[in-house]
Parts: sequence; C-alpha cells; structure tokens
Amino acid sequence: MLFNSFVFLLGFLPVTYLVFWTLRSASSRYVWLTVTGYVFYGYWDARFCLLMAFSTLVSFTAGLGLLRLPEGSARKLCLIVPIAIDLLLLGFFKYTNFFLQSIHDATGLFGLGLPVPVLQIVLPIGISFYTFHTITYIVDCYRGTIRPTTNLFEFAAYVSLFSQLVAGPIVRFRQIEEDLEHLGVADRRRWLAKGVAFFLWGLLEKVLIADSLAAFVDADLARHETLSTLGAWAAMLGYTFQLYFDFCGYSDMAVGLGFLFGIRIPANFNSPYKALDPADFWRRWHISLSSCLRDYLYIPLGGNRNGELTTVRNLLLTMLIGGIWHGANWTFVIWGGYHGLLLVLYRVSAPVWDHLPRLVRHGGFFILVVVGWVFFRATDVAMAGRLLAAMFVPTRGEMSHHPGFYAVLLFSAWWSMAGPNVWDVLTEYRWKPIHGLAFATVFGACLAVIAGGRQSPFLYFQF
Amino acid sequence: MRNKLRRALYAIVVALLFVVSAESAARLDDWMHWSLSPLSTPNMSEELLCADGRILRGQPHGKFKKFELNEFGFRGPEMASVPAAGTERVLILGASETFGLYETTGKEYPAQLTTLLATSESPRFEVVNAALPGMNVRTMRNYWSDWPSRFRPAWVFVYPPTHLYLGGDELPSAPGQATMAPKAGFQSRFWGRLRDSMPLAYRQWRFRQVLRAEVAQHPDGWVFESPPADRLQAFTEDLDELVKAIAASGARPILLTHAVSSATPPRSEDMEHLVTMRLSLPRATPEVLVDFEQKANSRILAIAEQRAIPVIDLAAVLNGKHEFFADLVHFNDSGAEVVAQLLADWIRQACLAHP
Repeated sequence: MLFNSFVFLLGFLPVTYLVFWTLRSASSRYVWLTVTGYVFYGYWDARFCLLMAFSTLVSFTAGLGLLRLPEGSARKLCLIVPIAIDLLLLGFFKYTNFFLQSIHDATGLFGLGLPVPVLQIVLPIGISFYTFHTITYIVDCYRGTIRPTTNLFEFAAYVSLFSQLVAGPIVRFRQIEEDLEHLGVADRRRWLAKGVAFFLWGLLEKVLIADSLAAFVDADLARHETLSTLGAWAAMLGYTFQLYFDFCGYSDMAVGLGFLFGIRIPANFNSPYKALDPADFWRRWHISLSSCLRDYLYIPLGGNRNGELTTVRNLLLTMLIGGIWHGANWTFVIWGGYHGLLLVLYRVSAPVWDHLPRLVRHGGFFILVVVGWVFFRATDVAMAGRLLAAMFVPTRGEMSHHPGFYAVLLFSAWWSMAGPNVWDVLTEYRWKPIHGLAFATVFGACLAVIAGGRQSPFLYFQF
Repeated sequence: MRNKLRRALYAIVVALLFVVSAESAARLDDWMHWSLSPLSTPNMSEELLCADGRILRGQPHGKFKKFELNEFGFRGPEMASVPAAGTERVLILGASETFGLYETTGKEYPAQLTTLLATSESPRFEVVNAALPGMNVRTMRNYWSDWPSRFRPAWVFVYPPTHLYLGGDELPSAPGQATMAPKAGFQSRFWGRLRDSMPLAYRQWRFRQVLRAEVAQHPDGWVFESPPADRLQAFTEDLDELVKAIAASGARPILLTHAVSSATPPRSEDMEHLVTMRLSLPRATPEVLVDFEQKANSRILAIAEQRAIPVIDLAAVLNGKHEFFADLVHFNDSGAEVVAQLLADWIRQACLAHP
C-alpha cells in the first residue's frame, strides 16, 4: 500500500486513525498498531508477514533473554543468535542471486563460467529496514542503552509501525520508547495539525515534485544511449532532485503519520544538497541510516581512534557496507565506495577545502554528488559508464524539451539547495484556521495528480 | 449565529479552494505528461479524427495523450505515400483493438509486427496501422476505398470488430457525408480522473445501475435473446464487400477472426469483462455477445473459404485467455505480442511458399 494511493489516503488511514483514538489503553493501541502494520504490509504479499512476525518473535525473545541474563556467554548468545538469524534472512532474500551471479561472472573471467542456478526469490519489501530495527534493538538491549520491553505487542508495534515500516526512517527503539510507553495517554489534539502539516508537506514533495520529474527522467534514462551531453546532465539532475524529494517526501510523511498517532519520529533529512563537503552531506542525508552505520559499525570497528590508516579502512568499509545495503548490485557497491573515497579525500584535504569560497564548495560538492547518483541509478555498471561518458565527453543527441520539466527542475533546485525544509518551517508549528486553506489546496492538487493513475512507488521501497 | 455563519463561510472557501486546486493540478498534470493545453477540453475523437468527404479518417499529426498519428493520420512513424522499391507494405485495417488502446506505446500489435519483420531483408516490409477506434466493417468499406487504398499496400490484414454490430438501435451505418460530433463544453478533468480511479467493485455496481436504467427505458424484447440474424447477415455482407474491394485494388486481403477474453460459453471469471462491455452494448447479454462472436467468426471463416483468401484464426488461439486481454476485446502488451508473432509467422511462411 502506497502512502500516495486512494486506498491508503481514503481508506486505511482514516480507519486506522479513528479506531486508534477510540481505543483507550496503551496495550490495545499496541495491538491495533500491530494489526494495522501487518495489514499495511500484507497488502503487497501476505506471505511476507510471516517473515516479519518470525523476525519480531526472535528479537523479542532475545530481548527477554538479555533482560534475565545480566552477564555471561548465554547473554552473548542472546546477542549473536538473533542478529545472525536476521542477517541470514536478509542475506538469503536479498543477496543470494547476486552472490551466485557474481560467482558465475568471476569464474567467467578465467574462462570457467561456472553454471549457477538463478533462484526464484521474491525480495520481501522493506526487509532491509525492519532488519535494521530489530538489530539495533538487540544491540541496544545488550549494551544496556535500553531496557528490553516485556510487552510483545509494544515491540511488535515498533517493528511493524506502518509509517516507517517499508522505507524508513530507521527509528531506533530508544528514540520512540518514551512515546510508546505513554501511548495510552497521548494527546490527539496536540499533534493532529502538526501531523497533517508534515504529512501534506511530504505528499507534496512526492506527488507534485518527485513524480513530475520521474516522468521525464525515466523516459530519458530509458534511452540513455541516445542522450546528448546536455540531455544526460538534465536527466541526472532531474534524478538527483527526484530521489531527494521522493525519499524526503516519504520520510516527512512518516514523521507526520507518527505525530498523528502520538509518536515523534526523528528527522531523516536536513537539506542534504546544502552540504559543503562529504561529512556534512552524510550528516544531512538519510540521517537515520548514516547514524546507525556510525553507531553500530564505524565506531565498533574503531572509528577514528586507531590512527589514520585504520580510520581510512573503517570509513571505506562502512560506506561499502552502506552501499550494498541499498541493493544487491555492483553499482551500489561502487556508489558506497565512491562516497567512502570522498570521505577519505575530504579527511585529507579538509584544511584546504574548508577555506575555499562557500559557493565553490557548495557547487563543487553538489556535482560530485550528482556523479555518485549515476551509479545509484544505473541498472548496471555498463549503463553507468555510458551515462558518465555522455555527461563528460561532448556528445550530440537527444534531450527532453518540455518546458514543464525544466520549470520543475529549477524550482526543485532552488527548494533543495536554498529553500527551507520541513523542519525549518514546521518544528514550532501552531495551527491557525488560515492553514486550512493551504491544507485544502495541497491535498486537492495531490489527490488530482494521484487520480491520474501515474503515481510511482517510492524509490527506497526497492531497498 | 455569527460564529456559525463564519464557520460555514470558512468551510465553503476551503471546499472551493480544494476543487479549484484539484482541477488546476489535473490540467497542469495533463500538460506535463501529455502536452494537453490546460485550457482546452480534449476529446479523443476530436484530436485524432477528421471528417473528409464521406469518411472519418485519422487527423494528420493528430495527438491525444499517448496516441500520435503520422502525416497521413495513421498510428505509427512517418512514411512515404508510396512504398520504396523492394518494400512490401503491410496494411492493417481494424478498430481500437488494432489501433491499440491499452498497450504501452510501441507495443500495439502492428508496431510489434514491424519489429518482428525488421530482420527481413528481401523483401523488406513496412507495416501501416490504418485502424481507427470505433470503426465498424461497414464504415471500413468507404474508408478503405477513399483513403488507405491510396497507399498501395501489397497485403491487407483485416481484423473486423464483430461486436460493434451489436451496438445501437439501428444497424451500423455508413453516412453519405461524415461529420464530427459537436465540440464538448467544459468538462472537469479532476472529476473524470476520480471517476476512472474508483474501485472496480464500485464501477461494476455503477455499470449495473446504468444498464438497468437503460434497459428500463426500452420496451420488452429490446434486449437480444439470441444473436440477431439481421445483424449477423449485415456483418457478413459488409465484410464480403470489403474483401472484394481490397482484392479489386490489387492488394492481397487476409482475414483474422475476432478474439475475446471470454470462453464459449462464458465462465464466471469472464463476467467482469462481459459486464463492462455491456455498457457499450446494452442490448447484448453476455451469452448473446459470446454466441454472436462465435457465429461471426464462423462467417469470417466461410468468407475466406468462399473467396479463397487466407485467414488466421486468432480466436482459436486467444479466446478465453485473460492473460492476453485488458478487457473483453482489447489486447494488453502480451496479447499484442502473440498476435504480432502469429502474423509475422504467417507472412514469413507465405513468402516462402510464394517467393
């Protein structure tokens, strides 16, 4: 079920909301959020629910074990076993075919070309996200950062919370623990207008900006072999803004939905295209993922505590793993490695880079980000190569001519690189009746475009 | 009292803003995606058809949403009026099933046939999709004589829309002077979008309501209880005339039987498509419609035999296979692929038999 669909906007959400606030106790609300989370998730494929339920039960049981075992090897088992199970499930569903294909390709280089079967594995949507949720929960329980919950439905509601279930943000249990604990006494009226405002802001970003760009970008990239240099740049700039408004729109909607149910979900984006360098970028882009990678991978690896070489290794390893987390394709590995390299280079050159004029840093780093998105968007390395060649070697060819595309491109460039983000505008939000007019305008426009039937799934669903 | 008035006024302004914003967005969205003017009231027939003497033909360079016509009003790439030396022109006559409604652009079966025949060096083939939505075999006769025949095709495939003979109170007519329907006034595009995106169950319920009302307006016996013999006869005569006209022009006619997603007799899973089609053909019950299709296809086979012209029995291959249809009669991408493959195979074999 997509947030930008009639079934969600006019059916699922109103029903879920009304029943939730009719229920009084925290326990009944946990149960309701769990049930609706599974309905939301099962709408794609009911079989996936079993997998999520299994993962939830394993992690919940491990949490109970950690609660009862203050120390010893049994406590370590409660950490290792559930994480291993989660990672095995993720590995099997997401990476098996990639692994087999890579073996085939690698042996092919030596003239062997081992025949490997391609398994018919359907990737359960959102598995990367809820696996992160369960793993961070177990690690935090083990570290003693949080006290494991003894309420199964509280934990199940956390894992299956439909607002952030399939495409993030990756919300750690500790970040919403307080709100979950007080769910029985949450104040509906306090968060309603703020929730609606966040949700509509995100809907606008997704439906009016990202999807408008997608129509042109998808068409252009489908014929990328024929694009001129200008056409390739226009398509990649379009994709750069499409990806941002798509994912940021989803995250803002998730935050809005959280507010509607009395749960404060943290920010996932902070105008990343205003970044002046790679470190700045990763503090602003997909904040929930980069902070998880930092806290659960980079720092445990040693972070920057053991000398320059180890720091470089840790940075590269973290970004490579972050890259492959996005998808089972070498393009994502390259994209992760590319950003790892940028972080390393910045580490070396920061004393010089930081003294360059602001405009140079902003523009220069933005171009580097766009180049990175080529690998992120390309379906294979060959496509990435062709696109980069078209971008950097003067080429004659085709390009979009529709003025609407360039109008949206310019507007989205201004908005993402110089304009305010949702948190700038709505953090201290207070409802005024005049806002109802803005809500009606945005909702009407979004509904009309959604009714056109061309809405696309969120880009991050594939991860 | 004043408070209540203020609230009512507020609600009205909010509702107005919602509607104006939705309508504007729908129009801007159409402009973005289809280059439709935000201020016009676009209509498929108006954008794609034009009256030319006694026929309606494709509007030169007509464009409506994903449909684009060439200089001569045919769906497909630009072409010369006369085929190049060494090229055999394959022309396809038909209605919306051939024109392509639901397929992805470039996946309608004439377009897929072009791709399949592209590998042939000698002779080279050029496929022309001369079909137009809503054209029945009777109007096709004049259309063929006055327009597509000028383009000197060597082969003419005819995919006759048999079901159209079950529509209307009168038999399909071929008017002496073709006229376009009057221009439509303001139509809300937002409302049109909303209507189209209603859930299937709701739409089927609405279909049944509309159908019941339509039937109630007419006397008993208006709904066909069996395939109407006069219409079947009219179809047979019209098709025979068309085939004769094509053959007389020197082109080689090839007939195709008409395929539907329903089996004969209809199964429960066929009802969704049959009920939807009945909105356009309110006089034909599902059973009559399927029976008529079968009988009309028998007539197609009989004409082919009688005139000694080739026939490709699409109905035998595709009938009852929902996976190839978007509705009762229109193909999806896969269905169009099957049809294109059958035609390509037939053409290759024919070339081998008569090089």
